[in-house]
Amino acid sequence: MKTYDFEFTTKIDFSLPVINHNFVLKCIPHNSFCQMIYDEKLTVEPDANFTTGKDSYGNITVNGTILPEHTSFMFSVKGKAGLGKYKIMEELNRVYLYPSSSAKLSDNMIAFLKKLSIPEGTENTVKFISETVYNYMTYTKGVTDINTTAAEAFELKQGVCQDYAHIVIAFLRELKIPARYAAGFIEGDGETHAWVEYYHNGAWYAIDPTNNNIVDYGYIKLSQGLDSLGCSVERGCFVSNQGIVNQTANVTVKVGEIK
Amino acid sequence: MEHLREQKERVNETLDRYGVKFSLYKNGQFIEQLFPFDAIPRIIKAKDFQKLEKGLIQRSHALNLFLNDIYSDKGYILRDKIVPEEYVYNAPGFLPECMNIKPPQGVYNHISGIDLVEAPDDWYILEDNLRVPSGASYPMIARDITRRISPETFEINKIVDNRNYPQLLKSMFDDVNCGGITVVLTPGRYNSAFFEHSYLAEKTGSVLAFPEDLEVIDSKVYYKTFNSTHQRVGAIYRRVSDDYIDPMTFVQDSVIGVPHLMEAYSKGNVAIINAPGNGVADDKGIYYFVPAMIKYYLGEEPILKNAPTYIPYYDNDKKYILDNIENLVIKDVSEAGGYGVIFGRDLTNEKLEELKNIINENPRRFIAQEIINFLDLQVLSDDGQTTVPRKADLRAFVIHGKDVKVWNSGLTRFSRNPDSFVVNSSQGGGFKDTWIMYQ
Repeated sequence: MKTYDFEFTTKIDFSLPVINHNFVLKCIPHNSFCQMIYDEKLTVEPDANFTTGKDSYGNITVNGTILPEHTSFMFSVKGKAGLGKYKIMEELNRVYLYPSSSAKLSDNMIAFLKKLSIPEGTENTVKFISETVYNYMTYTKGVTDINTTAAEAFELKQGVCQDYAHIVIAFLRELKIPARYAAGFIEGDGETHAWVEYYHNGAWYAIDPTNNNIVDYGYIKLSQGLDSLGCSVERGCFVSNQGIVNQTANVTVKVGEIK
Repeated sequence: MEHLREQKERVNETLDRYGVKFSLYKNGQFIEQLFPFDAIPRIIKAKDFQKLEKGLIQRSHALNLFLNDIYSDKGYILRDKIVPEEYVYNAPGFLPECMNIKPPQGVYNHISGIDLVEAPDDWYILEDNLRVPSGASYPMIARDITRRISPETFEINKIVDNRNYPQLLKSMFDDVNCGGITVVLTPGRYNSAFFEHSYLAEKTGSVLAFPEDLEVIDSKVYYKTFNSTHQRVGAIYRRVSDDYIDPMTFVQDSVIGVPHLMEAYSKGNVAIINAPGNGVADDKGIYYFVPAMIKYYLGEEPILKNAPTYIPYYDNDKKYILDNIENLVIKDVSEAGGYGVIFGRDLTNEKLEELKNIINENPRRFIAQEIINFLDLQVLSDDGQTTVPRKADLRAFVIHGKDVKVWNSGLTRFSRNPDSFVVNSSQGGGFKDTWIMYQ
């Protein structure tokens, strides 16, 4: 067991005042077999009425509304996480064996997969696919966005952690290995991260294709889902009476091990 | 004949005055069409209807159990391989956002619109509509007006009264209501079925609500009244499709939804009628498995028949389809509304080969059915002097609250053209009243 301090802040500035702002946040890590969260504290500004709930993947949701006019929105979560070696024992929901909106194979991806000589055994396969995608892709910011699919990123051969994860998930599911998307943060990254969980012998394990490593410690998970669409940290809709609103977001993440 | 002509004119006049039109998109254009009434009713004898009733109740039960099963984390019917997993999890109507949500009273398909046709030997189910089946208001209005014009018709003929549809709805609303008023949620007056929304709200004593009238506070839904007080809403008969009901969960830029509605629903604070996610059970691919579902969940033999159907997913079926394609009707399961229906006999050899290749490459995308030579009904000709035969189907309405009831009527739709088998209202055509007889 290792213990970490974490602090995660997102500040969104609107170019024009907005009203009737509804939001759903998936920004609070939940407890699992290998993750114990305590002393957590959520701050939302401006002051908002909110309730917490659970989505269909088991993630904690913060559901709120800010009616009065405002030009910025900030939420911040801090707390401590006790992390065991990454392994989540649970019964498999077999939906994770099937393609989803953003993690779906294209014809080119199928052709690519067919040319690979994939090793025997789930763990070997997962490592191999992760490494293959790591070598195939070039990490580039700004070429993809939250709606980019695995197929689109595959054509670009570029992207960020979300895109690496989507491609690996799509491949693993095609190879009959249940796979799901995980969002959260890791030590020293400074921003949110995404990785892949795969199911093997009654438990979920994780691999991080962006960094090409097996996940053991130091990954604090915020949410899980079929793909990134189920794991949006912030989702909102609002009204502006003054024109088209541009948003700029500033995200800071601090994670440090408490020794 | 004179009488029938008068009824036809008066009903159509009234529909026109109310602005009851059917709007559809065709070739990228928005077309408004009348959905004309024909005064010769479809007549169903008591004995025949009793069998239909039993069969429809059985089917509605099985479909509801199926939805409960697949959206729980159990999925027994999938584990037991009665329905292949990929038919559920790959279906466009399967909404992962609805997993693990238990709807109030465990009811998903509060209102099922089940389409049947009558062939010389028996009735056949054509499809189940479990999302937002519409059309009940047409026979309601037609009956209302014909009763006024010729009351003696309803004295001479022993016809079961069908004016209880609003009561059936109302009592179902009350069964699933989680505390508060019931509203009928309409996307607005430009929706093709707006008339029906306001009509049903009025008839059931519910409040007609526009999306901006509803608000979620502390995981509960409220109706904002004119003097800005808030009334708690316990049930929403929504006439907005799943994709648009909550921008926080589904299509993000929906302006006809209620933000946070799914959160209130998932906490059991409001009933959504029909439940979100039902599209997976009325998928044309899932239709094939409904008889197996009835056996699996209820341990009963299906009372009503499916049209003989083949799915290329199974090798035997695929071979049959490819060998007999010119005698079959091929349906694209990703399409709704009758646009993706292809009759093999209408295609040139070249087009048939093309279709075979597409089926071979995408077995999951199609189903094939035998063409059922369903019975013609007589329809008044345009000049009203004679009658002409037209293909017709029947949409039966099944209401599922604490128990399941079938409305003693239905929407009979007939095709516009003499040789067309497609009776969807979106393809132009008309409707008739449906008389269920006491004998």
